[in-house]
Amino acid sequence: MSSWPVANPMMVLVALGAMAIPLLIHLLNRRRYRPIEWAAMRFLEAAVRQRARRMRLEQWLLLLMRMVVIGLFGLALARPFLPLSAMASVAGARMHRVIVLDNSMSMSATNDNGESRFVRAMSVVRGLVERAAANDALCVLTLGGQADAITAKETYDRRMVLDRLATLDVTEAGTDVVGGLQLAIDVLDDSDFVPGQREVVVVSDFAGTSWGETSDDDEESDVRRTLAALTRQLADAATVTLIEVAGDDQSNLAVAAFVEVGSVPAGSDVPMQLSVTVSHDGGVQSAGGAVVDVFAGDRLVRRLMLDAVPIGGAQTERFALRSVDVAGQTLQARLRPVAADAIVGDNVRYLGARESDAIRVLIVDDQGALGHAAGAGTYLSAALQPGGETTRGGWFALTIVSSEDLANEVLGAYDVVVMAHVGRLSTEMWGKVERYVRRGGSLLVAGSEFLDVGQFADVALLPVTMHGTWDGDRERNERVSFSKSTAVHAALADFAQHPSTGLFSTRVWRYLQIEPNADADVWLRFDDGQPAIVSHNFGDGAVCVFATSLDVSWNNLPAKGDYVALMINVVGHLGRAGDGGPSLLVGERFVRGVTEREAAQGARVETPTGETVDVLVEHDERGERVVYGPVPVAGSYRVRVGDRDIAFVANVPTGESDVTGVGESGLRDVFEGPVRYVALGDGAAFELEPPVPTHEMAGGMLGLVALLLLGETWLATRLGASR
Amino acid sequence: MTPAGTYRKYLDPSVLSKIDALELRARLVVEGYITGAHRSPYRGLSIEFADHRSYTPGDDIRHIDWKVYGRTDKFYVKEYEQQTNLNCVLLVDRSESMRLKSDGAVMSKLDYSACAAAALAYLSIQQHDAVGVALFDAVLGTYVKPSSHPGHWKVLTGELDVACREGASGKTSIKSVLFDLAERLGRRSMVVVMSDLFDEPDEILRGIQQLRYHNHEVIVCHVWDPAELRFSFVGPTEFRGLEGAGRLMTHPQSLRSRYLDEVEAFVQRLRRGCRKMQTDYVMVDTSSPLDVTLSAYLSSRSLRIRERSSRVMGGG
Repeated sequence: MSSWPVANPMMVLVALGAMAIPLLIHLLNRRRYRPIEWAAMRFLEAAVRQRARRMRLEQWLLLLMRMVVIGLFGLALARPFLPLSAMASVAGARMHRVIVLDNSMSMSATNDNGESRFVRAMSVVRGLVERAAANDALCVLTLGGQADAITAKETYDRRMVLDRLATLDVTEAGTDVVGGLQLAIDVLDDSDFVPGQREVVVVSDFAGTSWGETSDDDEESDVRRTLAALTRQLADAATVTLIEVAGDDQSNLAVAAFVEVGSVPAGSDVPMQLSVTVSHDGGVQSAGGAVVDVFAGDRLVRRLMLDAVPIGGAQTERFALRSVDVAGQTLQARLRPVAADAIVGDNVRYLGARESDAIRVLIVDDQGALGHAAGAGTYLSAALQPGGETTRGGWFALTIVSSEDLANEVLGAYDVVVMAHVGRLSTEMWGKVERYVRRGGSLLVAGSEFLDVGQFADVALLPVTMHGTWDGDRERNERVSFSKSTAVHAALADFAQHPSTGLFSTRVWRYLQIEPNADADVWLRFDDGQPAIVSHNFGDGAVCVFATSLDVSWNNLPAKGDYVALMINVVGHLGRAGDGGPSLLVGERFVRGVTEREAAQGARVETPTGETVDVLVEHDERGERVVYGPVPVAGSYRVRVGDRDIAFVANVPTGESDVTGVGESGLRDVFEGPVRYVALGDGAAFELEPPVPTHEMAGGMLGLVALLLLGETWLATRLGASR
Repeated sequence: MTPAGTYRKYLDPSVLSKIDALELRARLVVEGYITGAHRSPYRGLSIEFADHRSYTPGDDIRHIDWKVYGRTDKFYVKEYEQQTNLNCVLLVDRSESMRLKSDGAVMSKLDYSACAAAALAYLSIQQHDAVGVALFDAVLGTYVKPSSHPGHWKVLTGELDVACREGASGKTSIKSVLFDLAERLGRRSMVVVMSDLFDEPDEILRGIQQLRYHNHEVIVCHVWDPAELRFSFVGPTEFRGLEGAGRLMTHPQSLRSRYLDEVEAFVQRLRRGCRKMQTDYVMVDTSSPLDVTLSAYLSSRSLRIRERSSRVMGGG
């Protein structure tokens, strides 16, 4: 707590400075006296003689009042409080103590003695509960995953609180700072205690990533703003005590990322590119390099030897595995234990590999249906299925229909629907497609000769607004190509690494003029800057627009070898977007759209610990959805819904690997208003003086300011002084 | 004839201030006033107001009014028209304080006084009264003896015009000026004092007393700028005193009531003193039409004549 009896000491200095303002105005006013020639001075002087002393007195009184008003106002903004220590000792004031306990993964960091932060925090919390007076109200909240209360808002049953604490353990989830503070505010809002008799005690390691330190400026300002607003409310409602249990500097190695680079059809012979990143947080350099073992299921498939990772830095290693070797299995990148590693839970990351089933693609091609041998659908099917077969182990299972036949198709049976050459769809059909996407399907819309831009422009499902088509002047050989520098999307990573590839020498003489929506992701642009491939997520699915045609009518792309690779990557990426095993963070919820038939059969989840749990199937405007979570631990999950198995993995939040605390000064920056800060070092005994109940004086002072303003107005009117 | 309403506007200082020539201003005032009055002063004043005075040795006995003698057993001489005409002196203050012209006024106190004096002179000469002008500040300066010659008005307005153009200067010392004037005036006269009277009230009254002692009729036209009477200044103001009265920085609103009390006390003092000495005291605001001054003069003149006449008739 500040040594000043005010919440904001800076405002006291500001108030003192501001008190000089009326004096300055008074002195400046002397310079703006209006000169007037005057004959009847004898009467004026006589009047002044009679009133001079009184006027001077009143003027000074007015000046004094104005200074006091400004000073008091400034002091009120500084939010002074009156310690009621005498009253507290006499009356034995009661307290309502809200204990906010951090049980996020960073609290599992252990020191050299093997004692974790959570153990220290728990001992602090137990101490607070045990030492609470019989008439003190208690409430315990946790921050791991989603903030939650483990007791009632006001309980006097210390035994029950201690029992609940005994069942509590550290989680693998992140720190829900915002949720926790909001919950504390909600508890205090319902409290019968006055603000001077409320205390919020936050027991945490105050890890920087969770408590206001972010790498992104915008995100930082957002987080800071939210925290500032919440902490201000909290300081208004109670005395805030922060107990930091991080202890001495620690070192922590973690698998910060384990991802697939690019997109390869599942179950194929094509090598899938994988990348593992090991980070090193904390303040102590660990000796030697890091060893990461990659498992497919229980089988070790690769061992990676990384150089020593510098403090605050990371090392990334890329490698390849044959997709067919790991299909349907959960991949693990597991860091071999090293000596000084504070958190063990972040030494493994999971990556779900798809089953070897082909991606089911429905190609809607009105041109092909009309008997054109070389329509867009034909080109696309040739690219996706070079052998012209649909067999197990093939990349894609294709079906080509016309838009009229689309009504007869069960879209849920496909991973991707491609509108390769479609003029327009009925409203009902658009509704069907939209429902399909909302439930997790993927849609690819390509430019074509018959496409009704006017109708497509009104479709909210699309990631773009269509304005028309651009036609290059053929006589003047006006063409555009795809721009190399804009091929930044993961699905195009193969091309980005080979800038001389044929994709970038493609000639395009016609394309749809599209304007990406705010939430859209531009995969690729033409070299005139116009977007070529744009996607966005819609509901649980994804929608992608390919601005030029899939056949040779608008470009010569099908004549290039890269056409095959591009289509495989784009359609493959979309196919995975809808149904690939998602990667969640511990504490998040798994949500997946299912068909009504599947919903009727119920859903069960098999957790990494081997438990099987029945899960809810919710129904809302999006349709039927399986909802599971918050996901409790990291690992591989399998959801059985109807005849379908959906696999997903959950990983620990990377932010929790940062064991560096934000520190007292950082916390004082984050917390608006007065806070008591106690750092509990390793092995330090916990002793915390109870806060002295205080009485906020700001309200009374503002009332006094209002009264003085009235008095000042009356006096100023009486004196006729200008204001 | 010009309609009365049209002429009336020429009594308004805001109209007069736009006319540069003092002569024209004065004529307009008089014409305007007369045209606006129900009874023309041309008719009757000089004919009906024949006067009586006590017989003094040397008077022609042919002028004794025997009817009055029959009633009162006293000799009164019937004054003829020429003899009853007034000898009028217009005493105009040209001290520095008369220079004041506030934002709300259209004429300075000196300009207003000069205009009123010229109008009175014109009116008087029209009535065959002799009229003269005296200008003063600390001492009696320019003094033009009274005359009823029609061409005399030009002389008077010329002097007043010069005073206006030169502007006001010097301090006020009314008592010595009135004493001086009392000595200079030979025959019994009507003295019209036009001044802001910023001097000690006792001194002013003593000066008037001296004139009265010499049997002169006195009309005091106390000239005020509207700002001096209303004192409605707002905001911090620095008053720079004229006639070397120093400076004063103050918030006038806070002093207004006290100031007005002081003015009121001063005016009451002068008014009471004047009343005691049977002297007309007229408050003149330079923003008000000039007929106030003219009325004061004419009513005072006629009243005096009637009083004297009734004293004679009533045997008093």
